Amino acid sequence: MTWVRLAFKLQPSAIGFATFVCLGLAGLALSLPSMLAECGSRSATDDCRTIHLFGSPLGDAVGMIYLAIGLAMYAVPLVLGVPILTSEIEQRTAMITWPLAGSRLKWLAWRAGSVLVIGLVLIGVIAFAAEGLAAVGAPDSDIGFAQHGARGISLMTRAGLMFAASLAVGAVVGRLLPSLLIGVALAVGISMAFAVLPPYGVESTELTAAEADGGSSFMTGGAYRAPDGRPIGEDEANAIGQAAFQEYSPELPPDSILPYSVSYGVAGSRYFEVLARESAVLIGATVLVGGVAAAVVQRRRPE
Amino acid sequence: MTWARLAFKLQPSSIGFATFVCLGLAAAAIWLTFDMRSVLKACGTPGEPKACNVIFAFQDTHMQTVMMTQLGIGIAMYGVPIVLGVPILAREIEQKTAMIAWPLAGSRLKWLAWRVVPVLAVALVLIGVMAFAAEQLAQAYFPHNDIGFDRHGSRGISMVTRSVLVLMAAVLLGAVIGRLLPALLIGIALAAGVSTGMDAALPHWVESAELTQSDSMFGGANPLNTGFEYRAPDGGPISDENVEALQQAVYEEHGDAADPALLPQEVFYGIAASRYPEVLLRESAAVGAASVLIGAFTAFVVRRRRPE
Repeated sequence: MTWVRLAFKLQPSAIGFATFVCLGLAGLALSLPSMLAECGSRSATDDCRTIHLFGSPLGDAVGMIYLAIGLAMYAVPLVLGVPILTSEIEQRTAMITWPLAGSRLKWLAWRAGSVLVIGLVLIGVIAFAAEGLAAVGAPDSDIGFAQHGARGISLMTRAGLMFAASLAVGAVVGRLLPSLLIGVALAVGISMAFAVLPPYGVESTELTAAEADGGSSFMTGGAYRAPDGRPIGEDEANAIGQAAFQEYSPELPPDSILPYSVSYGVAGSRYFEVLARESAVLIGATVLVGGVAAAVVQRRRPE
Repeated sequence: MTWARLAFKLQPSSIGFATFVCLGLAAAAIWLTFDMRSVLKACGTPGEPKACNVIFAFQDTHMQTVMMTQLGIGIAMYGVPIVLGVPILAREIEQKTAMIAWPLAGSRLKWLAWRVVPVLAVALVLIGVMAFAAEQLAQAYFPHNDIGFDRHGSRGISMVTRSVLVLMAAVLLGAVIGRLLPALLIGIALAAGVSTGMDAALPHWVESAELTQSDSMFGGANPLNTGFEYRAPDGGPISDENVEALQQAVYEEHGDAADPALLPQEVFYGIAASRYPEVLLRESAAVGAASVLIGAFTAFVVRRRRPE
């Protein structure tokens, strides 16, 4: 484990921060189910499901943990990735190490590879804990798309891409603070892309009522259908509904003569298909961005 | 404005980032403010909007955008001072330029004042603009009421004083740690501590009192709530369990039309919105004093530490 010690000696604060954040969040995510189970066994203690800080409710505990994991997914790779090259360039040690290393690419692989492994292990611990927390939330059913991106493999691939992007930003900019600030903006952009990219070309279908209500499906849209099953617009659905209520007033009309809404999306049972496509896209993008970083390191002046 | 140009040349990315973030968020807040106020211009005309008559006038139309902008401002008020304050000394020490600059300056304290004051002035202007915009946004969101303690700490004077405190603490961190990345990471933890500490101290600046109906949130005001209890119809204290039993007994005996005087009363404790200026004054004095103290400690550290 000499490489771990060496990596820590080169980036003590970044790796220390990543370890503290990742293990802390994983610990919270792992202990939360038992804390909530204890909470449920007490009488009228809804409050213990809410995180309070100095008397102010911040939000429900599970939601806050996922929010923190969502932030750590970008912050940890950013803090680990940006300083690898910026500190060498800014402190002018690259002027010595790059010529001495013989191959700049080998040097980069050693420097970034060791930090990437440490980062993946730490993020992997969070991803595992978050996966367990999501499974506890739906004990009798498939969790499907619930908390997608903030648990399991999707969390790790996203963090991997963020790490490669941070490395590339550091290589291009060559200064720590500007790179960190640009990295923050980049993280916002990447998170927005992650919100619009799914379901990665997997075709949406009409979901059954059970699939739509279960919370495990990925919704892409909705529509209305007339009582006879033909598709109708929102205005027509309102008109049919209003006419039915007027006809039966003051009683309620039977459901069979009312229009109903249908949802479109990808069922939770097809989650792995989407996950496989997303992983392929993100790993491809990570390799590409890593290639850009390598090209920059190969070409740039070490100052 | 030579000092501003020089400050920018020494910290281009920090000041550029701060300007972009503060002015961007301020512009968003001002745009939302004008948008909400333009809706109210139709009040008093036939078909006036719903916003003219309800306390939460813009809950249905603007809530999400307003909350996102306020969240951005709430993060920026700590992020900007950290990014501006930490590098001032950390970079000089890390890049070993302090070894040249400090002996050449003659007086380290004068050098420190020359480096910190322009950045502080830039920060005050930028955060001041954002604080003013945030104040207008909060007032526009509650057009019919005194905003009182709503969004306290992330608008107006309280936001400026807290940001200055964080800026001074960030400068101190840079001086003590002397390395940029560790100081930035500790600065984030420090900002979280300052934020929660200030919120925890808020109810203690003046004494809490029982709120009248008009002073409570049910009267449309925005007081600082510090406590809640039930009182029996005779005015005596009553436990939560007894409240449920009493309510059940009254409703069983009188039905839904039970006289409210027979039911337990809800009593709120807190600080009324009308006392907000008093709280603001005390908090500002304390935070200002803390900022000066931290500044003095920074000067002490700079005076004593080795420039490497």
